[in-house]
Amino acid sequence: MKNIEILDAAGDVANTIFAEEEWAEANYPGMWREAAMQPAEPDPAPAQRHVSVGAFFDRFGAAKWAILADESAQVRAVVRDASVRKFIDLDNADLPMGLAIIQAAGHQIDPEAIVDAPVRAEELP
Amino acid sequence: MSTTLGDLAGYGVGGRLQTLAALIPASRSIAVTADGWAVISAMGGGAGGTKNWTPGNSAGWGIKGIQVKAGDVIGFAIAAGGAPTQSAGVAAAKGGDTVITLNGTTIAVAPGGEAGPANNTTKSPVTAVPTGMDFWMPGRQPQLPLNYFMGGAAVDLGGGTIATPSISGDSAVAPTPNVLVGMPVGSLFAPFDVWLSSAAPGSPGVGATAGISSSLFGGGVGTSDTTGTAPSPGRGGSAGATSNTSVAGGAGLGYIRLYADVS
Repeated sequence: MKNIEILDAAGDVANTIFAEEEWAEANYPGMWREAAMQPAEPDPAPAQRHVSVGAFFDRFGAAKWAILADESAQVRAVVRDASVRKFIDLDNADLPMGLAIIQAAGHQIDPEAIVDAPVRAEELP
Repeated sequence: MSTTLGDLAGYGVGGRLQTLAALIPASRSIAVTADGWAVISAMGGGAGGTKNWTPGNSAGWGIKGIQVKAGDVIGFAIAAGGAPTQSAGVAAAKGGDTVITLNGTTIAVAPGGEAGPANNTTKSPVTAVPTGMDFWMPGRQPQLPLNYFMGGAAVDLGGGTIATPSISGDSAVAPTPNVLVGMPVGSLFAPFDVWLSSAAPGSPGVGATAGISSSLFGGGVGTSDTTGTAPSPGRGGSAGATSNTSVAGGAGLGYIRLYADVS
């Protein structure tokens, strides 16, 4: 559906309507054109940033094994919380806190890179 | 024999069967399948948004009854909303007209809202009136006192329109029961079969407000906010004056009811 300018005999714009091009041609044959200004497109739905649990742990890089083996109560809670999920939502508001706990336990991770890196196809749940 | 809504009412309901009731949000043609009557509602498009001058007006609307025959084609050329202007010093653009045809001949026109003035010290007068209608209402000016970033005008559904402190665009629905301007909440706007369900933003007839566009008939946001896009007017409403991205006026609207003669 487009904004269509209906033209008069002199080629001037007589009206602007909201129509399919086929409808305009059927009803105003040869006497219409697309308007320069078209209706706004709807905003695209925000992309979901979900990764599989395994891909999430892979984002820890070289620190992954040490984190998974960490038996301290807080790190173990974070790891278990992640492990029981079907996927990890990188936009989950609780995620930065969990990463901060891991960092505070002495693991060398980059929380911004873990959260903000684009989701690759192989990381999808 | 005349062909008006009054005549349809005079015949009474008996002897006719409603065969179609449809909202027409975009241009289309309706083929009549049986002799009888058509009751047609049409609304023009609202004026487009402006950067710093007074917004234009909302659209007029009307309703018409006509006798029809099987094989007739009723055309609805639904108005586009007025285009937005993105530069200061450019008047708000007029809304399009909604044109109703019967077998290719124009039988009624619901005009678009008038363009805004080339200043911020006056409002454009309402001059366009629907033609060919049995009952109609003209468009409406924005209701706020003149200032730089006025909200857009709402469509007058029959009760007038109102600007309210809490909502940027004008409304066609009374904000509270003790306000007697605008249609009462809970009433039915029968020409388009729209229930005016609430005075809350997003409901039919209520003006746009921050972050919420109008769904139908309300005016668009006027704002000095310099980020983002101004929330849009509803169908027939005019867009507001904004410092941010200006938006188009509300497109027009149509509605049709077909009644077949039954013996």
